[in-house]
Amino acid sequence: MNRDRWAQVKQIVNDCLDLEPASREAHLYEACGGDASLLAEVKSLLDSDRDAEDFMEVPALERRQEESLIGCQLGNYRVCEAIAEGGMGTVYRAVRVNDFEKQVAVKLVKRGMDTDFILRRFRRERQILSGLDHPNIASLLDGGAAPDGRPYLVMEYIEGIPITDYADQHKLAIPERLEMFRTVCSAVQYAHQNLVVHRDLKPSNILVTAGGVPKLLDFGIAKLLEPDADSTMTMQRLMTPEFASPEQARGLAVTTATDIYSLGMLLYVLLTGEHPYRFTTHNPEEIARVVCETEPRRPSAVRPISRDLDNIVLKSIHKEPARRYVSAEQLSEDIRRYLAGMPVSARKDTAAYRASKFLGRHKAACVAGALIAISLIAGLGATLWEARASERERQIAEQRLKDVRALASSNLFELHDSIAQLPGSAAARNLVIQRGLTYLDKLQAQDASDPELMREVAVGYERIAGLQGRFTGAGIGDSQAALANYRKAFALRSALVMRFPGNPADVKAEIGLSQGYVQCLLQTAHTEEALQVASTALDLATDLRNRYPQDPGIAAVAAAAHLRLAGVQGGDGSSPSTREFQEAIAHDQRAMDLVAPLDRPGVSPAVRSLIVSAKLILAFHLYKDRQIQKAIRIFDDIVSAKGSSPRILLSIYNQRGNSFARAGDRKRALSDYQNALALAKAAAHADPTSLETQLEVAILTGLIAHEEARLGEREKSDAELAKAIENVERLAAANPIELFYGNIFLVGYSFQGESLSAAGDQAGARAKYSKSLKTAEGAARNDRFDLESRLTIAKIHAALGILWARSSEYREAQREFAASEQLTGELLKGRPADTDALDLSRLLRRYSENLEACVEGQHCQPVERFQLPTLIT
Amino acid sequence: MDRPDKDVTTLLLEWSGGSRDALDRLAPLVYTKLRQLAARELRRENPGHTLQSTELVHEAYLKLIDQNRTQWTDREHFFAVASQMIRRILVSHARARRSAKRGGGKTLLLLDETIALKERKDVDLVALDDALESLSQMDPQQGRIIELRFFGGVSIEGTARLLGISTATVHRDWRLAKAWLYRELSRRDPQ
Repeated sequence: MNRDRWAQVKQIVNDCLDLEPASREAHLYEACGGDASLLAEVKSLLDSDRDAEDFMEVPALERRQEESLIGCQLGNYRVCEAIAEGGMGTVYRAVRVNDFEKQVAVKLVKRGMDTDFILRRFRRERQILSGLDHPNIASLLDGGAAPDGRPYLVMEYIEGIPITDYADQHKLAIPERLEMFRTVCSAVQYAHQNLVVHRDLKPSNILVTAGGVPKLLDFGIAKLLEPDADSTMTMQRLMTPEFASPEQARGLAVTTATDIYSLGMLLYVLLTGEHPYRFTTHNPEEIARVVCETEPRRPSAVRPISRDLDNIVLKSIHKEPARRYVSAEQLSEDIRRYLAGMPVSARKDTAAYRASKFLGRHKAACVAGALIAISLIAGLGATLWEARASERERQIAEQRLKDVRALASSNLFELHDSIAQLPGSAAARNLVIQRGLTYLDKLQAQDASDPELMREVAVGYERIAGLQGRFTGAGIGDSQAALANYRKAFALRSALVMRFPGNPADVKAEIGLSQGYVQCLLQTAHTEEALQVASTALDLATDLRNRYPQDPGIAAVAAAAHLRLAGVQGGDGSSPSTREFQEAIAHDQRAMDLVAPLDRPGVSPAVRSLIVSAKLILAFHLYKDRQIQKAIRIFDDIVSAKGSSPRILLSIYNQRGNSFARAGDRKRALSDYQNALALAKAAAHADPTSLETQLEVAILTGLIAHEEARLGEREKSDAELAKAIENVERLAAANPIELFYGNIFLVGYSFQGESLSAAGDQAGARAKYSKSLKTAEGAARNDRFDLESRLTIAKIHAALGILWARSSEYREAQREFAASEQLTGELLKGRPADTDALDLSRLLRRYSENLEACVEGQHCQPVERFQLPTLIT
Repeated sequence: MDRPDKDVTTLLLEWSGGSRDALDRLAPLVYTKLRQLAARELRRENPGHTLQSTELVHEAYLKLIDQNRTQWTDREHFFAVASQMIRRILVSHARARRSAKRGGGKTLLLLDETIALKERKDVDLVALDDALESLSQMDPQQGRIIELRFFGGVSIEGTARLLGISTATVHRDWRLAKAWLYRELSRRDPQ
């Protein structure tokens, strides 16, 4: 093009760009005045201008900095090359270190995109996606944070081509295409059952491998990459408009029905090779208009295919989400019927169809409810049939359905609670719980998208998990079963929060749920996950608090979330912890700040107890961080404030006693323990069925015996201790829940061992400590993040070493010291400033040196002076 | 820090005074320094560092130029030279990578349409270099704007000052030149 012509083009393009898009066209034709090639040139430049978006917007050198990741190691993976780049992140091909055959795709959030919101979203999505395990879904393998803190996801690496290309290249016949499509449906169904919505299903996201296996990519990633689920602008930026559903184009809520629509679009393209709508432009607004307002061409108008397939496709891509297939499974089933020559359920829209819409969607749920409710309300089926007649009756039917559900679930729990106190009712209670679970599982499977139902089912799972996880009263103490149901409740709650991020009730419910869930995760040795769940809950709470800074209820919820996370970081005296005491103290203090303004006369008992709990937990973490005097001051404050319940007082006396003991004030420690024991005995007398109280009596008896022994009153204390341990052993035999009794066994046996050793019975002492070791190892169960239990195990090995040394078995002693040394070393690698680990490490070094001297027959410190480390946490 | 090179300063002053010959002698010196700095940045182990072309050029400037003898406008002229240099460094780097890859070419795995779309919009530096050459023939000012903005990382305002035109003109030319290049690059078959 010569310069003059270019100047002409430039002028017209610039003029057009200055105009509103609507009036451009008119100007364009006028300015070009019938010069077809000029018009074409200008038009194509205007198109490019619109499509270019951020083309070249990032300077060349800045763009290249991402490449520096190549060759770097992220977690267990070495980054090989960038394979795709998007607005929010880059995808790399990587290989596993030590196994270069194993290829993976690594997604890393782009620098600059790592805002708090996206990072939180990323973490959340990772939790949900990690639950997806299906042969036709590219799985999430791992995740972590790059050295600069940006999170990444490790996904299965798929070598394949888009499903539509595959079908064409292999010249698949219609039935083969349909079978392959059904495989895709099964993957989508699976994801929906796990409450994950893809939102961006399209041929390029469904790759078929050389072996002919379709694999869905980026499940839920679309959601993850969307900074604000409600923003239409974002939707337009991130979505391929040609495949967007009407509800997406309108910026409305996205549900499983959206994926059904996308499946319908995919089926359309697979069957006809064309798109159902004809677009004359690439303008997103125009595309949205066409998708929302015009009728799609029938597939049979494009290719000669059966009328049944026409109906199946059109039902799937219906503009009203409620009139599409209820599930991917139903869509797949209709195709199966077509392939088998059976009549299909899809038919052309009729007025009757519209009238029966409600029941079509809700009948399944009605039936599931009826399974348990059948004996409660007769004639429900008849009511449902009549409900077809009119809208008014439809509402009645819906209300009845609600009543039935409520009745069924409340009845369930009432039944449970009423028989809970009966001796020997455990089997019956289990049966009730099993019935309840069957009911909930069925309800959930029927309609996973109805939010009301989801909330109700989540509450049901949470209540059942609570009952299973509790070891006292009506609880049945089955942590593993409780965990499974907490997970179900959590999946539902997360999905609800994702769908209704602005609904405080849903957010609060998830935070509330996470309290019990985290406790259960800790009990079952899932400390890392506990940390994640507690952090997520705190993120949610912080968001909520920012939105409602004046709401005292939300302040309390946020305080509880801080305390929950602090509990994982600093422990609570009996659960695992990551031993991050300073972090825990910071959260405790934040919680104190949140609840302090609520501390007024007349405050509700729940808030009152939250305030006291915050103080107690803070004091405990201060004690753990060796700020003993500060801790004691807080305990003193609570005692002198009066009005604390006997439960709280018991806890305070116990913990203040521990603090005094650690500070070396044995007299005061003993006095506090005795006060606590009196309270525990009174509670045990009042409620003889409470296991927890029995255990407290035993633990306190043990602590008192221990202190008395150190004060020289051994004989008296040994008998007391033996009695207490015997008592717990009896309880444990009748109700075998290892972990729960762990603490008393652990500490109790070590007390006994200490006593035996002092009396000269080293072998007997070792036997007791070995029992402690077994308990501690059972509690830790390979939970790498439970540093508390690992430190305890290290201490027991040290104690065993000392006991061997006392029998002059130096080799054995060295072996135990080495085991302890190794664990302590690992601990210090993660937390180099851990005071307890450092102390233990120093102790071990001193003892080992002495031991060597002893082995070589040189002058050595008498091994009796080796101090047994205390296991009191 | 290196000692500022008096020759470079003299050449820069001569060049901003209108000497074409000075530019030819200045270029290789700037080029060497920039390449050293760029290589260091590209090699950098820690991906936490963001490479800013303006910082890079500024660093080169500090190392090469005796600032006591130059003025602000000279610094901007230096940016103009540097932008050309960065273009050469990156394009030759890209050509080398392309020939190294040839033969073992692998189809891209596109993980989703969003990303695929962006990938297409991502810049093929070799093709861009060719297209930019054609654009410069047709419209030298647009060619220089692309060079300054894309390779030099110079802001709209800086570009306007450097070329002695209004920011509105830079805006318009930048947008149109991008559209033109985008079209030229989309027309080429990527494989």
